[in-house]
Amino acid sequence: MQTTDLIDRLAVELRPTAQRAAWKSLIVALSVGLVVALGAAWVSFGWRKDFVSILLTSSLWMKWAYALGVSAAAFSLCARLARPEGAPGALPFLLGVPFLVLGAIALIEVAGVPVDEQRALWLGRTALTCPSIIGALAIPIFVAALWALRTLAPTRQRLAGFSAGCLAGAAAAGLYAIHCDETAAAFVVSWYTAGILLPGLVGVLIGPRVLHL
Amino acid sequence: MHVESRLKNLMLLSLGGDGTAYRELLLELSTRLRAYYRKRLGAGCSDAEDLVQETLIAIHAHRATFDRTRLFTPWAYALARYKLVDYLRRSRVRVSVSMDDCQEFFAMDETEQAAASRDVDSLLSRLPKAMSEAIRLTRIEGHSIDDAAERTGKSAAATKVSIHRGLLRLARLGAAGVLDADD
Repeated sequence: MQTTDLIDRLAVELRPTAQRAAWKSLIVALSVGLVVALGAAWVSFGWRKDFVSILLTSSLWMKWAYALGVSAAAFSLCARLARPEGAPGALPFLLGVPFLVLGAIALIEVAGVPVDEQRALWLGRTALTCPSIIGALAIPIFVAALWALRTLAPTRQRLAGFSAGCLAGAAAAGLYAIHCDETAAAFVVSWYTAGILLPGLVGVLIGPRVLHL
Repeated sequence: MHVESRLKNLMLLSLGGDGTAYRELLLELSTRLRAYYRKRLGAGCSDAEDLVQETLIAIHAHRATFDRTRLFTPWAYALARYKLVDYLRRSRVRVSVSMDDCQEFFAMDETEQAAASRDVDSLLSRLPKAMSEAIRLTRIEGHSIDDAAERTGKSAAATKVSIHRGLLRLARLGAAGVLDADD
């Protein structure tokens, strides 16, 4: 086809575009993913009867603060990379800030207990279940984020995939925190992070293929 | 920047649904894209026009990602560059494409283009008709080989041969400085 014919065809096809249509689709997709993940968590773990007393524990708020910090950084990165000209800038480093803060808290915590108890603090009782459940809960959010990114135009697709994965992982970690009885910062900084990085790394691997323009 | 404000204005009108502005925008972008891809891929590369079309389609499909409060040229250039890098990756050629060519991409001057097209006309007039016609249809007007073959009533293979020979001859003419002697 001749290029001028193509242009004519595209011009005829043109419809007005809503303001900020792209960002709305990202928010809508993430909300849908989050609701599905919430439903999945509810079906598999049920509703905690002691939810109110859990709300008063500092460990829940530590997990939520960590999940929220990572989610916020990952979301900003994701939203920026969704534009073709979007450059990551310092945002990938911002993603590491919650990890460093919680890591410092964990080191102080571990240093404060006898050496033979340190291992238990770090591993808790659910060291392997935790990242697997976070990874599983992240799936609907991850799929939704990738779906939204596909309608946008990321040109740095490995990093965009990574940010979508970390966002999904962090949101899933926030959900799982309600059902997780571990209390140590050392546990959270290791195994929650593992659960967040799992979808993040999948995003790095599949990003270029899934997000190809 | 002059080009930026003009193109952004066209883009804003286009997002509002103005087909005429959109057509003008795409036409101008296609000229710039053609020059950009030809320069990067070499003038003889027949995939440049495909890339122009692919990029126009990408711009069309992803126009909602243009943020009305931001600059237009970096947005369009990012898509143009992506399509080039993607093409080079597909064709397994390793070349680095600078992020800094955005200025150059939009700095192209209309008068430069007019002068260039005069030069091309006078060069083409020195070729046998079959060759100049094949080159004009495919390389300048942007038809596919099959399309050009159909229009000239020749086979696709013959059209390809005409283009190839014509380009060789043009290269020789250029090297001999025929143009300089004439002007």
